Amino acid sequence: MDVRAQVSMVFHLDKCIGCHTCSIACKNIWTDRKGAEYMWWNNVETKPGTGFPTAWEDQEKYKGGWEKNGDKLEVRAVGKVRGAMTVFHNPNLPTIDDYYEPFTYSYQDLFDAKEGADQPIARPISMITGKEMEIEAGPNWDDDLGGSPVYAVNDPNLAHVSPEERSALFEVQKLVFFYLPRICNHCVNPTCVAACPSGALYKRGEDGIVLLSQERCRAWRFCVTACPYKKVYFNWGTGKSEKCILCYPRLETGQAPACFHSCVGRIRYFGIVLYDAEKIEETLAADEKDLVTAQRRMILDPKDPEVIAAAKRAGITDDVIASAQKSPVYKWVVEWGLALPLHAEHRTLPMLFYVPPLLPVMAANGEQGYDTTIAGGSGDEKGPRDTTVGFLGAIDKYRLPLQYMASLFGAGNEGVVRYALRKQLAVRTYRRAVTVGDVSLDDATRLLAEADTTVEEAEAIYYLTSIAPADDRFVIPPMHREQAIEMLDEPLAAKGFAGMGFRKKPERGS
Amino acid sequence: MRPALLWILPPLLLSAPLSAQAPTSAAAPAAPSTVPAATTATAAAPAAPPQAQEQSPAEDLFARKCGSCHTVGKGVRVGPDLKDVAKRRSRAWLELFVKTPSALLDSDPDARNLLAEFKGVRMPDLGLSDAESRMLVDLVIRCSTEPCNLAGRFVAATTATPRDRAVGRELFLGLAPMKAGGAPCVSCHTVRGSKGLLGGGRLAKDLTNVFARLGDEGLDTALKSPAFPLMNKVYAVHPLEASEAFALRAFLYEANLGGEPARDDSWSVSLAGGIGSLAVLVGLNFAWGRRLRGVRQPLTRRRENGKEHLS
Repeated sequence: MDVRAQVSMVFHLDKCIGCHTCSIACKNIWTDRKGAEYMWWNNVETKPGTGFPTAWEDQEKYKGGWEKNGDKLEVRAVGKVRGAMTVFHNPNLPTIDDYYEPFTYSYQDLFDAKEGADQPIARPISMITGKEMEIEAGPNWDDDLGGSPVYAVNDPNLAHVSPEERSALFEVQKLVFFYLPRICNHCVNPTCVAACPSGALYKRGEDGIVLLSQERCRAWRFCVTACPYKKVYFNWGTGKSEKCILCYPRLETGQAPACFHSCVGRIRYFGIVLYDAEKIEETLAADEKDLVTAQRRMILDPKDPEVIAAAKRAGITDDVIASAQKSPVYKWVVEWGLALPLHAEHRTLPMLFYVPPLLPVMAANGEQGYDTTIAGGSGDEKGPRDTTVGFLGAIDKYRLPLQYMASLFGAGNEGVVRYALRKQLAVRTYRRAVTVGDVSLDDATRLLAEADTTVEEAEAIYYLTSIAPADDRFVIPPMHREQAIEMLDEPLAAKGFAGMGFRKKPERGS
Repeated sequence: MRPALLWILPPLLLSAPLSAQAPTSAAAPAAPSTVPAATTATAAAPAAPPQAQEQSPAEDLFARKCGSCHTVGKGVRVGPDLKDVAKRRSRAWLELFVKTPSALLDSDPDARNLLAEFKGVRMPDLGLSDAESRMLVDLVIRCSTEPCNLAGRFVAATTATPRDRAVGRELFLGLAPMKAGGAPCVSCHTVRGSKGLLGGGRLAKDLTNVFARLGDEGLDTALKSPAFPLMNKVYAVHPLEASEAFALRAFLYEANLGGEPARDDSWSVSLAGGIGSLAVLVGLNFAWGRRLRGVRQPLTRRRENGKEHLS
């Protein structure tokens, strides 16, 4: 057993209201700079939709992630022949139009315009050319299904959905969507690190945060191609790539990352998990359908005495182990099996997990349209609820097709998604029995058993979903930076300095 | 981004079919116009190759190390004639110069004058021991007064048969390997009319008229123990055999008869290279130029054209 510590995250999608506060917090702190205007290290996209950059999930175009070739894993983006053909002219990159041309407005015109018959207006100005421009796209252009005949219908995940369900998804007045906030997944097996020819990308040993050295980056941009989530961005001003740093300066001072801290819906959970590095190869070799469960098996129980002993042998300190034992992420992902990785099929072992959204609680009901009477639905139902046998089966007629959700969160395996949704529905029904009382507690308890859970677990899930204060949602491990830098630097060398900013400004050719 | 493609060019250039070298010898009249009188005299002599007497070790050393540039009493070649050199310089100076010319060429005024006189051609350090340099100075003093055999066993190129010349041609072009594994001459040299790859190498001199420049004996020494900086290193470990040197001389003798005076036509390679690169670039542009395509704009265009789905 080779125990490693890894900071890990859970986003509860049912709670996301799509307000983009996380994106703005991140933008204000990290990417409000020249050359970084178009970057959104954190972005929130509407699903179904093509996201940011446009159709980032289409790996036919972008060549991200790993490809299993027999027993071997190969980076789709590079290789001896592919690398030679693309090294000086890489066609597998998003163009600036696929992100969006960043813009501002000529606000000064509102004050300086000469007096005239019309009101002065602020015109859009490109932040790249500085000239007036026509806005054709934005970082969230398809928000709330905007422009869905162009964008949402081209969501690559719809490829797994039958044509009937596909057209049903876009029926006017019965549209359905949810929000998907995305940051860097800080994968255990990151393709961006594997693809970098300069060795600029690395995974921090003590906590697994994936970082990009601004001093070693040589602008090859293979990381941009290789990341299947398109979460590495190229800064045209400095000629270096950049990515989410999980606000490590905040983590090292005991604060949650800015996007977590600012989240209005309190959808985000943060904690450290322990995993067995010896199981990585076995996990990566798993069949696509088994990837999610294999990844869960890789994560170790931090309360197991054997694991604790092995962790100590690996140099993980007692306070980090204690932090892992309190980690909400371990509960969501392993104990409860509710949180799932996004697009696990790229075999990067992403360490950001999503609780799939149960809402909107509607089931397709044949000719008659949609049944909103299941578990807390806002329909105009009267009388007692029908929670008889087969109630949880409504998940299979779920408004968002299960194949679609499985394509996003299950690497094509509907089973793990169905399990998470059934359990959520059971917990919801149980809480309804407790607070509203129109479902009998006996029925609710039976449903809990059907969904492979218990009253205690349901209460715990309910607590972490709805009640938990910040300290329970963000269990930030002591980062022990002083120990980590001892290997490379004199820990007291920078005593008295702020520890922020560039040691050396990133510049082209340096 | 496009100019970066230039990186791909050098390997492509090598394989591009270029005919930089127009064969001229075929049409040239076989007139020995530039062959010196001494050589023409031997050319007229009967075929039997003269057998010289055996060499002493010192004579052999001179033939291998010095003979390609110097003679004793047979005139100036690449370097000065060494006859009576001991009367012009002190013995200590001579020994030091023979051992390490580089020590004197830059500092000593006499050596600097010599360097200017011989158009800046620097004598290379030959890596001789003290004993060897003493031996060579002794030899030069002796040979200034009495006859020596400094040329070794020598068979004149004029006695060669057409078959010898054909062998020489194959050796020159690398069609037949050198016995000791030396590189074929054509890697660095050109002989006009020999029709090698790209007309031959451009690193070193055009050898079409080398027979006239060095003479038969000088050429023989230059082949067996070259004093030229690069060739010296390359052939030190892969020396030519006497028979190979003979065949090459025979080939070069013929080339001299048939060749035109050397003319600088290296621009033709640059021109062909330039045109070739341009053609490759234009070709690449057609084949690869439109690989980077956006995603979003095609989606909107497809919508405008009435096709909604990706598939």
